[in-house]
Amino acid sequence: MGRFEDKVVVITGAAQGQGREHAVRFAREGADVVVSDLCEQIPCASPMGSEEGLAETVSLVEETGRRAVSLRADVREPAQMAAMRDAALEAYGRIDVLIANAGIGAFGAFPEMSDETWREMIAINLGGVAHAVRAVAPHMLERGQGRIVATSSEVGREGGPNNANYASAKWGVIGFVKSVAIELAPAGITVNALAPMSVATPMCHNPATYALFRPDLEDPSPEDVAGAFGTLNPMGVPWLDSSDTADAALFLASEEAKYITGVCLDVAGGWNAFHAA
Amino acid sequence: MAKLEDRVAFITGGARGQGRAHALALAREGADVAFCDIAAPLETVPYPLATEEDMAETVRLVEETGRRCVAIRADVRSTEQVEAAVAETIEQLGGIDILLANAGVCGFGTFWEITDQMWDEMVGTDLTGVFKSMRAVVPHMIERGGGRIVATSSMGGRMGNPNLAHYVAAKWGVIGLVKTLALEVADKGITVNAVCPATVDSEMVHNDALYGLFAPDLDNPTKADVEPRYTAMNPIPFPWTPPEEISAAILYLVSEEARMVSGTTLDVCMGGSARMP
Amino acid sequence: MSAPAFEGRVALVTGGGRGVGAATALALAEGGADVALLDAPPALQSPSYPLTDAEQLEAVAEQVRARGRRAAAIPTDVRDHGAVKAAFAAAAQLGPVELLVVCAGVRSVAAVGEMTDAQWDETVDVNLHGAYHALRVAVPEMIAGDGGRIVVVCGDEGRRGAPLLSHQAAAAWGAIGLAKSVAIETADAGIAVNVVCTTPLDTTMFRTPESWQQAAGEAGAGEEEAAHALRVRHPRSEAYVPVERVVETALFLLGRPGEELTGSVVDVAMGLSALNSC
Repeated sequence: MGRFEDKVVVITGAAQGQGREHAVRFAREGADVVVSDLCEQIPCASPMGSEEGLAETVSLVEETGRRAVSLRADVREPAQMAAMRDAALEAYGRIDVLIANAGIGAFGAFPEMSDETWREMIAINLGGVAHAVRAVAPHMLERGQGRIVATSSEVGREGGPNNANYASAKWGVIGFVKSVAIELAPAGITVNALAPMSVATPMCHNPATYALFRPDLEDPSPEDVAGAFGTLNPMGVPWLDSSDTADAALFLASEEAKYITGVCLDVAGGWNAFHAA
Repeated sequence: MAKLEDRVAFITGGARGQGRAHALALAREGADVAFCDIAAPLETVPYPLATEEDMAETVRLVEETGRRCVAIRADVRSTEQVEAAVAETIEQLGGIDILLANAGVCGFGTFWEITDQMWDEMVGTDLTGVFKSMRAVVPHMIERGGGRIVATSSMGGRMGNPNLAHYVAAKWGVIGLVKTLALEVADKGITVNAVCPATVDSEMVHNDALYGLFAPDLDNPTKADVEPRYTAMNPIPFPWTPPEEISAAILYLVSEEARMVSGTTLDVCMGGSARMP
Repeated sequence: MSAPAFEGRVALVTGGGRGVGAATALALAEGGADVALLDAPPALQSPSYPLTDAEQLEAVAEQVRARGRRAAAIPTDVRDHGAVKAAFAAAAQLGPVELLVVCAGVRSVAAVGEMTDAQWDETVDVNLHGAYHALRVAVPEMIAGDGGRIVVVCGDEGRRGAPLLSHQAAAAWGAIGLAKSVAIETADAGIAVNVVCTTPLDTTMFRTPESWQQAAGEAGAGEEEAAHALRVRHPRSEAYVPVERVVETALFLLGRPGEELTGSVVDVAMGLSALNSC
């Protein structure tokens, strides 16, 4: 019997990367899922998910024997998040877990950063989390139960050069999560954040990110950048596997974590040991 | 397949309360357990500490699960006693995979009324005891190429707390110790983390001295008198956390799934961490 | 505390039309600085209190001039990057801006499930994007010039969760992440970026039934109940941080400290920061 037998899990940003991994892992534990993604490339962002990617997530979920409902939805648009909630309720009648995961990578030195790079980042990585939670919270309040996990980052725990926009959004996610955790605690709903280090997804593995870590090389390969990534954390791991963050999300969404709310859980090879408590 | 099949855990302060709950939780997941306990009163701790009968009861409960259990009387303030306990555990159970530095006491007094003895007994047990337990086990873990360490801090290690200056100093100290050790052993397959419980349903809480602190306006306050006051402190409206909930968080931190989680503090605190950075 | 010397330097203060912004501007003028004041935005939907208008902004400028310094009152919507750029260009008549104080902010109260888009958008647009726009223009100018000092002022919901203020918390935590990142990038450029986080001030923004009810934690609560709840909440049993304390802290960060003091958050919080985990 899976840990999430017959639970309903809604995941944003699920056409690839961590979102897809969350979907498959929850399904393996017995959950039915709703997966959404923008399925469109935003010009300033790292490689984003596609319709084909979202379909691939659905088929991976279905291979586990569970159901998946997919839809294209833009986390920047509250109405589309409401539509995602409605799709979940129509298909399954309830939502037990929300994983507010959708996010982009886009960076640059702050003085030269374009307005678009700033605005899209805040709109998606912070606004998108809020819109998803806002859409689902009233339903969870009505039921008097629910689990919400939002994806922050180690860059939401410190400053990140070339990442002023990303740090702003990811710090914002933690402040948001903590506030909503207090509001929803009396109703038995927990709200927590995950702070991973780099994860082996398209957001990490792309030429632009590689160039940021190895400005000295013409066309750096994964092997070229692994060392530089590894210097960020004491374990010296260049990047996590998506399964590492999924493990943490499963824990925070589980029955075992029912007294844990308003926390930010670092999955970061010890990077966080450099931070204040 | 149990998550901790044939691992060996060494737990300090295992005769009752959280330590006993951890012993049972780990044993149910397949681990053999050794634990130590002072099993004697301390002069400045205003409630009875565990007894030899309590130790025997933990052994009985662990053995009921079908796992082995070794009980050792030891005071974590004593280097000799801790090292002897660790040596005995390794001899009887073949090694140590998991250390839970859990032993702790709580007393209180306005800062300027804390005596040297109160300070020494508190900091000696709750902070120096954690250091000595870690120091006794870490070289063995390095030799074995890995291990999991979880120290018990407290929400008192995350904030100021009136009437608990010595306790708070010790518990903040534990977090600094955990973060530093995490960095030092990050490349040796050892993770080091802290759990931060809020109030836990144990003997540390249920005693006249502490009740009096929470209800100074009443003559002989009862559990029923203080319960709503404890509840009022927590966003999740419960007065105290069952010890098994702390064990659940520890099970995650010592599991294979948490191999990238080190140097972190996991708050199991009924939402209190939502009120702080 | 004696006012630090800002003789001959130029400061730009967003949200300078009243409250902390205006008080900081006047204190800077007393310290010898010329001051550009940005405020008087167009109408917004979410605040339940009146915003500053151009006349009030000009009145603050007059008070700066009455202290013998030059002033420019520049009505600006900080949500608009172009408008902020234009405001900096207008401020250049005073000389290069070396001191930036980001005070512009709006406040509203709503449970997450009931929050309107306007409440979310206006808070994030003014409190976070507004800070970004100002830093975005100021930082390259300071790098090209003789460096500078930047102070971002935000509420204590930037340090913890705050029920009914999830949008305020998101924006304030975001502003701190912004300030810390820019502090790292500019640490070698003669620029210091710091944040002042305050518990509530008894200013126009807070003097609303919704803020009083939020502070008191009960519907129908008024000014008295809010003040009582705040006194109980704060280890130092006072309801409101005096505006002058915030001003003194900002002046300290704008004044003598070198770039050794950058990337910090200073809590002016009636002892509440003793409950912070860091």
